[in-house]
Amino acid sequence: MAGRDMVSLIRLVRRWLWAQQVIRCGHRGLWLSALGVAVLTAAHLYIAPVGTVLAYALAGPALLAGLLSGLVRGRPSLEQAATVVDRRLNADDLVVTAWYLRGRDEADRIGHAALIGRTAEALCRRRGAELRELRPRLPAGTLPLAALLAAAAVPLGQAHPSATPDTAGAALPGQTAGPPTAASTALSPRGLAALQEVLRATGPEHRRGQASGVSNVRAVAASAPRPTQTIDTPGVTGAPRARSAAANTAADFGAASSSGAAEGAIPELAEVMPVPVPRRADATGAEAVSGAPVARAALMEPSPAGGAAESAGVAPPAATTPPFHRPPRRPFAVAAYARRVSEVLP
Amino acid sequence: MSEAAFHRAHDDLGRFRAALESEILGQSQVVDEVLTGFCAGGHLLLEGLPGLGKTALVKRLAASLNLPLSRIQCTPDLLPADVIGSEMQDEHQRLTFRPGPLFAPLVLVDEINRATPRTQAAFLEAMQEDQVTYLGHHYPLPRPFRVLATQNPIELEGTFPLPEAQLDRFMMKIVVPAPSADTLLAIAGRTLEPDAAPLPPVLDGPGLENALAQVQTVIVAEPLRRAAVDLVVALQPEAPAAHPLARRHLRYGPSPRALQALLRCARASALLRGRGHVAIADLRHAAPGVLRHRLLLRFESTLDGLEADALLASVVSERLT
Repeated sequence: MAGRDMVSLIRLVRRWLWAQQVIRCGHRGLWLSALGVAVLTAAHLYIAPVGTVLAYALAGPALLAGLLSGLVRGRPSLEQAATVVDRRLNADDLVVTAWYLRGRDEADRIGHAALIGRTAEALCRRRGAELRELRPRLPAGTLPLAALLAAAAVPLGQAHPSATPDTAGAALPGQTAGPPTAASTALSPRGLAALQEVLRATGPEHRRGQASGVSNVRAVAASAPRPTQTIDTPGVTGAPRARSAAANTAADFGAASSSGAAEGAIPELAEVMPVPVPRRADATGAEAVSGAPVARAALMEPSPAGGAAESAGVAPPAATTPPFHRPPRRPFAVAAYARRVSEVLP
Repeated sequence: MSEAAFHRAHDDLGRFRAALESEILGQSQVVDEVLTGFCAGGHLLLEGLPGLGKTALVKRLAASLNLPLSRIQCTPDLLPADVIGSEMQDEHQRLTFRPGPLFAPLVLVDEINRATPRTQAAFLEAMQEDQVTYLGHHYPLPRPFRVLATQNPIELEGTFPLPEAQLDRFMMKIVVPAPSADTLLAIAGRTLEPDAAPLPPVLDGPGLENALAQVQTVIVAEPLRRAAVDLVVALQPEAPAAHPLARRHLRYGPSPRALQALLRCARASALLRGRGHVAIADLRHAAPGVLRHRLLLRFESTLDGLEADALLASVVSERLT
């Protein structure tokens, strides 16, 4: 730095200013990214499941746009760089005037113009080192913010069910005649494969909602190595059975967890099929109101009076299974789920 | 133009300043502005209460430069012919033009706002063109021709405020503030001393010419010119780049003549500080005197007690950084 002539010093300062401009714009883009991620994640959690992956997919372009805007604004001019040098060195616009005079006629015509040039050169050589603080540097908070975004992106992107592709339409072409249910849009491939297996085993009669299909489900469920929570009730239909099968699948995958499936040991299923506080079945084991009897009964506490589950001969839930499903924390998502279930139900 | 001439001009002006400051105590800011405006080649309007030394300053200025000073005491019955002169019969019974008090290098127009608009208008051509036209004949005024006018801001009865066109002719409007207690003490001490001998001139004709010529050689780089233009534009309420304060409070902003005056005064300010180039500090120093009388506030803003100086200070501090 010290000993540089005026021209090279001004060019160097211009490069620094440009780099700092790009960094500053990138920093703004980073903040914009963080804001977008925060808003979309909050919306995903509390308003509508838009998907956190979408939030993180938007974060990259926002940061890139910030950096690009810094580049597109263009390099500062050499005059601007000279002005910055003047301000930093308290040189009373000596450098910018010397820069202005370079190669002009005034320099020959006016006697003190040469003096201005010499003084500016001497100033730049002597005090150029003081410009070191103009070197580009990251604004405060940039690195922590970037690290926070990166740290949050990996687990959220991997764990959240909305990160998985929507393969329900392809997996259940015959099953989902209507709009996709919450289960079909959010099941993981493994869950879907298990669900398909169950449905294949039940045969076409399950679409008619007859007891034979249900008993097939029960048979498949009974063949599982662990007890399930499926409680059969009369009058089931296809969609609730799908939920029931999903619960069975949850039970299948629940081996990894010490708690039962209905407790949410399989986060995928517990996540996408939250159920409001269940109501007890009556003495016959049937729901008092219309709705999704199988689905809800699967999460009910076993009736001490010998409810539908016992009357149907289904094994009672494991002792470790808590009697009620964990209360939902997302009332909007629950409402959306209930609406979708009611659409599928006949 | 050599470097030596430049340094000589700076030294001469330094002595000139010291002579004025020795006479007018505690008004170094006013002295600085007067010198700046004088060297920039403009006419000056001094505004202040009676007894603050305005007239004494002008007299000392003339004495330091050894220039003849002509004084016009304005009253409502003053006529244009009393200022510019008239034709009179000579000893051969011929009508000849007898120049009025305006024909002097330095003209002190005391209490200019007491003259009628008709008489005030008589100054317009002289101040702008450095000449007087009488019955179709043009009479050039001596060089350097400077009008230094004074006005009293409080006694408004029987006065005729200067019209905008005439205010614009003055390069600077210099507000003379009341002196501080320390200054008053110094004035008291000097009053009680025996009368001192009149001070000799500090600058002769060639020295003044050299100083005025060197002002023209001060370099104004392109960014500084742009800064001056930005400031003037920021004060024009109709301009797209107008400052929000100007848009809200001003009816009219400075004219292009104000820009010229700003740059000239910045040059003179730079020379007074020994610099061969204009710095942003020179623009900042010259801006209040050059621009304050060229801003016309809205009526509502005036009623709210806003002053042009306060508005100007805000805009200058923001735009000239």
